[in-house]
Amino acid sequence: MLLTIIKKEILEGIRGYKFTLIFISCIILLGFSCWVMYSNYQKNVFDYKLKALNKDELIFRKAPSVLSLYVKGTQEMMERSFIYKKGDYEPTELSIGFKLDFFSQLFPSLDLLYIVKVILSFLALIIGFDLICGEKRNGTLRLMLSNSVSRKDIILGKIIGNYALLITPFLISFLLYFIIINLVPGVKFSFEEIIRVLFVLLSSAIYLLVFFLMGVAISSLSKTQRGSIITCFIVWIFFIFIQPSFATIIAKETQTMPYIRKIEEQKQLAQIEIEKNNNLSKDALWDNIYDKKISLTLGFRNKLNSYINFITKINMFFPTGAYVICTTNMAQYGLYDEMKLRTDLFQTIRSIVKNKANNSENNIITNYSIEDSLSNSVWAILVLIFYAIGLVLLIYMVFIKYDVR
Amino acid sequence: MISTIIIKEISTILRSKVFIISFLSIFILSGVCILVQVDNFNNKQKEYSDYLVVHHQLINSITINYDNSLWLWPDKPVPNLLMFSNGIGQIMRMPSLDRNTITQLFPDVDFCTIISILFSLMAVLFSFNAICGEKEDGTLRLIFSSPMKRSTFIIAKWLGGTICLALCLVICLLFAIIVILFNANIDFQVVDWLSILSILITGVIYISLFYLIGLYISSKTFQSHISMLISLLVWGICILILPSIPDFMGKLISPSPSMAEFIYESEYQIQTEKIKSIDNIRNKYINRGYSENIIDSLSKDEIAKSLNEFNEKQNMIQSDFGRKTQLQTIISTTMALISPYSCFILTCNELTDCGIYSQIRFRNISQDYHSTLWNFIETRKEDFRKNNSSKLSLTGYPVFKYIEPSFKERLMVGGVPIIVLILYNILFFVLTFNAFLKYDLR
Amino acid sequence: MLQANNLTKRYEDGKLALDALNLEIKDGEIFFLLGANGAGKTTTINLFLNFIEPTEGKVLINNIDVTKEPLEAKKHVAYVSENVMLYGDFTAKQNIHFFSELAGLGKLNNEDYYSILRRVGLQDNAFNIKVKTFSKGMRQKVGLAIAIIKNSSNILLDEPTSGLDPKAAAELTAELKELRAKGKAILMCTHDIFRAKELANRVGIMKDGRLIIILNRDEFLKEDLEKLYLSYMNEN
Repeated sequence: MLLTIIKKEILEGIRGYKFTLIFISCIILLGFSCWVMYSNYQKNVFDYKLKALNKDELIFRKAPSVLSLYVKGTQEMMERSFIYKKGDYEPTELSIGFKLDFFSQLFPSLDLLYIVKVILSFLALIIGFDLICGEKRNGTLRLMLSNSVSRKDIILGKIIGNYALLITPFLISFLLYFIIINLVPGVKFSFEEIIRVLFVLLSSAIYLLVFFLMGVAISSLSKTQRGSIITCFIVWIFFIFIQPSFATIIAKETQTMPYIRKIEEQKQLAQIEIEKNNNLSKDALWDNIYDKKISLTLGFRNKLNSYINFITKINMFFPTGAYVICTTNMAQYGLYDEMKLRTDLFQTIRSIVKNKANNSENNIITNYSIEDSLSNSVWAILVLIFYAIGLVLLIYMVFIKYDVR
Repeated sequence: MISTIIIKEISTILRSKVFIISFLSIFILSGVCILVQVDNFNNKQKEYSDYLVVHHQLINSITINYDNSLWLWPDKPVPNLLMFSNGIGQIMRMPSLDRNTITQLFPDVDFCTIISILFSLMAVLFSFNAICGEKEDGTLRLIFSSPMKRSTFIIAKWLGGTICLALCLVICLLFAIIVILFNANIDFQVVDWLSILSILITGVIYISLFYLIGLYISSKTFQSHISMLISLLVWGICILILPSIPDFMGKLISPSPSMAEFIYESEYQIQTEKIKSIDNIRNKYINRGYSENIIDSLSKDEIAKSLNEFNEKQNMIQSDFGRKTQLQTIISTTMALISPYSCFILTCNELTDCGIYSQIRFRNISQDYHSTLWNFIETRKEDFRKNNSSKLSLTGYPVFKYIEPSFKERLMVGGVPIIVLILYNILFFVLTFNAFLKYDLR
Repeated sequence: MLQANNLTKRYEDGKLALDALNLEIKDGEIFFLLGANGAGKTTTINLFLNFIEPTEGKVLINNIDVTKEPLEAKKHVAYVSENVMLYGDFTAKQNIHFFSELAGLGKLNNEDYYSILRRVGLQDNAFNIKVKTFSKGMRQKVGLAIAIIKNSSNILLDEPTSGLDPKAAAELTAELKELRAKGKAILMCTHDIFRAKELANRVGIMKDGRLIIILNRDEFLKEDLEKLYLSYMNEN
């Protein structure tokens, strides 16, 4: 019986305009996204190849990963070029920290993460919003229930059938562009990276399921179509746009986040103070200043990291936050990866300073292994699954008592 | 006659439960947003004043040994209307590694963004049903069985819906202003009030546009569920997809090197080459067997010539890069006018002094200040050397004063999108008008 | 007075919806237009209301050409539609108020509305309830009240009795009789032969866009109207 309903849902859906809509949007959006992200990737590869020209200088930059074709995450922060000159205290950013392509900061870029998080979740809600109240309006719900079908079968069949309609176009177009992008010279996915991509896909699928179920739940709770759709959008706007700032506001109340520019100013001040009052030898003076600067940096960094940790933990409890954390971690462009990058860079410079050696090796920056990435994102995936199960139960309970009059 | 329909339109909308629920939700969501933003603003202002203290301390303790490798770039003060529109936010020039990466993943959403998303959605949701819904209910036939002109009816529909939503916008904005005045440590100037007023007016134009788009779709279709789907699709394209395209298109049409590449080429590479060529020239003389003492005077002209060449090269790269990025920005901003959403956001950003042109303006101001400050410090250093004083005195150094752009300036750069929005309004009004005149009442 | 002279409507797709209709409904007369679905009854009403333009011929309301002066003509006609939902979030009184303003009536007080609503048989306690909670019969009564309050000399009714319970239908009949007594010209499109027997001065039978026959009251009372109707329908 369940199969009959699933079959009916799928057959009905494939002929409907919604399926065509999703298919076309997936094909266009994912294709365009691939193009945009590939040109971005190329640029980063080019920048990565800029090498230090002098012996006593080092340029550090993380190698761009092919995963940035799908998830941008903290890429802009991670893939910066830092230059370290012998005798400097700390590395400085090559492009001295200000950007000119202002426009790119105004609107989000079209990576897979954005498409799934914002656009496809919107489509998932559109699919879900009149699943039950629409069928009630047409009178087909009464007709269906007049047969010997259990309500459980109906609701499960509807959920499974329509979810299949939502996710298949996404997976097909993803696969299509995955094959195409693999044919492009210069892009090669290693086995580990393919597994990471699979995890990104998995979490996207669960995330879309959660939003689809939210639509269905609202549909079964509201009486009219218009009421249902407006509730859906309010919920959508809340989760996508408003909720992330909650975490920030809670974090600001409980954690202290010093102003980054002030720390820079303090470091320079400390240097001047020490140089003024000391009559030490040149080397000892340098060591003194270095220690002072590093302690300021570390103090700041600890606070910053605990602030980021705190916000990550709060966002983990919401579907959107969990999805973002999960995918960015799996794609090695997450908040933790960025923290690790900073720590690695710091350690590298420190070892160079301590040994007074000229380590000309360029890439000391290591990435998280797949196990670490998984352990960073496993909780987020669990939260998403938990939401999905909870919503299924909610829909089931509401639908069992649903008034079909 | 027209007033009857407008009044009916307004009271149907105001009476419906859906409207009340959605208005309350908009009110709550925008209220939450403005509270978050005010908190954010207060934090930023405190941070900025903290930073200023250290900054002045730093300048005061500069000794003779320091040259302009010392990092004395000024920061932009927190704009008064930051909570309305973040835009690019505060510009920060700093060399360090550590940044607050949270905003990369979880961006702060400002009041104007929330307003523009919510109200455009509401406008579409209240207008997609306006004509084909009345047809389905049979009231459209009833209305036109009375002596009523079609043109009157469609104008009344548009005005009624826009007035309702504009009313909500005014209430939300008033609430936001009250929250700001009570919670934020802020002193609104005339320019700020004018900017808020212009944001309101632009908002109304923007809402009316989306209402017209919904009406147009509604008068082109006969079934409300199809009308709804098309309206939502158009809305999604306008708000979610189109704004992300211009940046890429700008980069595609006018590619410019990345900042890292530019700095690498224009400063780092040229610096290195410069040193090398000077060495070469000197080595040439050394190889000829001249003694160290006279090499300097001999090679002086040649070195100066090669330095000149390098400087020219550097200038060329810089102006080339400047031209390219400027062109890129112009292309991107022009293309952004396709989407009404990005039009609205661009205008709000410029009006609140957080937009692209405000940032370019600030960059120029800060560069001017930076050179003035260092000129001042250099002259004081000269004085110090001449007078042999005990301490470098920097009293009376030029303090960075940021002069906000006047309202006229803001309107000059933010006005183009408003005009485009008005043009869109006219276009869709004509389209809707024509479509409705041909609407089949059967 | 409602007049149709050689009225023809051919749609864009080539379908002939109405073929050379000649009709004159005098004041104080109820004319019933009978016919199957798609026979052209609603097209006739659409033409009288200028919802569509005639391909040929003329429509006159009180000797005003509807095609030339639609707004002027519409001042003299009231319309009751088959299944009007009205404005669900308005009460009965607000609906009638709105439409009376549209009809160009001046200021009316609540009592005027109430008396009309009472007249069509709506219960007093329903006057200030949102229309979306109404049953079909109650909505139809409000629809009729809207037509009555306009006080125009002509009334067009499109399937007004479909889906009404017998009591409501009887009330509607009584109301129409009263309106006829006041000298209104009434055109009613319906399938309801029983009502036609009871009310009509004349009956027209339509088939495939053509008005096949017009029967006077004594003509159709002599024979069984139902039999007559069926015989015309089966005729090719």
